[in-house]
Amino acid sequence: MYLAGYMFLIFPLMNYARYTSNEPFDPIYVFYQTPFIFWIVLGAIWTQENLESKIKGYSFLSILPITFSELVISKFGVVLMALLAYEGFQWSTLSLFSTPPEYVPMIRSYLILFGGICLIISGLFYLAIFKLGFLRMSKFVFILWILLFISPLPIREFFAPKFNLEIMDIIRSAASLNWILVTVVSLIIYGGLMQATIKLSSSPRF
Amino acid sequence: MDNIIEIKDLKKEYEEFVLDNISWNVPRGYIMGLIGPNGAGKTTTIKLIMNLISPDGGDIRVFGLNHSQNEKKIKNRIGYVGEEQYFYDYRSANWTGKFVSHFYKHWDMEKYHGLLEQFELPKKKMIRKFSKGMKVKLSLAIALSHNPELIILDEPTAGLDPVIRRDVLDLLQEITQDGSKTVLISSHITDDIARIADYITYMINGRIVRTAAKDDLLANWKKIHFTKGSLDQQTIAMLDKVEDHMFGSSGIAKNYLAIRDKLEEGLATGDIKIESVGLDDILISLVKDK
Repeated sequence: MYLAGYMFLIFPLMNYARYTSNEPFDPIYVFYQTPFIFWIVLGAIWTQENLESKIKGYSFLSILPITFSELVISKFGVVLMALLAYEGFQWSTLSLFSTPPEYVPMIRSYLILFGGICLIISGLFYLAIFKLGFLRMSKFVFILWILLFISPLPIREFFAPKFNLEIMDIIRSAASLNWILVTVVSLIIYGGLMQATIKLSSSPRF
Repeated sequence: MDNIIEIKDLKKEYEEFVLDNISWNVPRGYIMGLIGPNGAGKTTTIKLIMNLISPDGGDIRVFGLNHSQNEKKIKNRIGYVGEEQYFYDYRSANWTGKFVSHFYKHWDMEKYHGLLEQFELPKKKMIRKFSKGMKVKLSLAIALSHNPELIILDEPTAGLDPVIRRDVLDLLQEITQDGSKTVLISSHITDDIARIADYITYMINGRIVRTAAKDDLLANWKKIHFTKGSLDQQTIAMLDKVEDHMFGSSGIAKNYLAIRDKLEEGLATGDIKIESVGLDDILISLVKDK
């Protein structure tokens, strides 16, 4: 619901507003909108795990014929699917509507870079949650979630001026990475984190 | 005898409690009652059988299979009702049935709905609005709807009112009538166990202190009241907890059948009286022994 709300309501409205504004395309828009990926994916994880913790959902699942590894794989799988759906959605809305063709490869790489980072942080979240328990991790996860979401502001206000960088330079340098390599590396690390979550979990159950 | 659960040298250590190398079997086709005071290790043992916690040593085999290597296969054949009932409580019984059905190979949705109706449980109401008794009944409905061979119940009747308790116990007796199902039920309410169990296991301080058929146990444990001089010293020495009182003395025989012949004369003259003991009395006696 949380994810769908963003994907099918908030973002379409934002993109529609941009599309209908008749103003020339400004890539900075991508710089500010892309970190929403953390808000959406990590927020969905936090919300779901908070609920599982409150109602002791894992205690319910633990009596069912499902193994811990299956549960971890399904959690990681759902995040990957959600991220792919988000990336696909953002890609289609940003590239297909009113974006000059010269910006399209840059936006693709920038989106994929953020997707990869988000995937790895999601994997680390699950590893920490399953290893240490949600209650011990919740505050840390919540703070990190907020910090990542607002990350463009400190970048614009402190990081960029300090190193004498333009926002466009940041986008360009991020987008200069090989997007296939970024995708492959992110997926490998994510898979590794999934294996680690299965192996390092302190309990054989939940 | 064919055993459905076989436990060997099982060990689990906590800071203030140790499950101490227990070895124990549960025979197939019977109701096994696990009795013990609070903190005896009943729930720990059951959680270990269910692989909800990991043991520090020993071996558990369920249906002849290693329980940690065959967890999914085993759980497909077990119906479990825990001490606490956990659900996605913002969902309904209908939703829960559909959700759970994806996990069990032999889920019988018709049976599930039949049980919901039998238990008079609302199908569309949010589970968080259910009473404790309703949640236990829902747990039972889930536990029974995939035709399990083994039903494990951990203090299922604790906190239930007498009417619902009776319903639950009647249902358990009903489903084990044909001998195809085995029930392991733990409780500190010995009346419940006395009503339905075929076998009894006493657990105290993390140890199994006695396992026997209920009828054998009750036939062997008797309270003997006797007047002075009506019993010889050798027989008195075989009694436990001998106490003197104004009418004579009393003691507990733990092997009544072995001393019965020696009591015949006193029974005929009225100098000796035999009183049956309940599972509660046996538990208290075993706890005091410890």
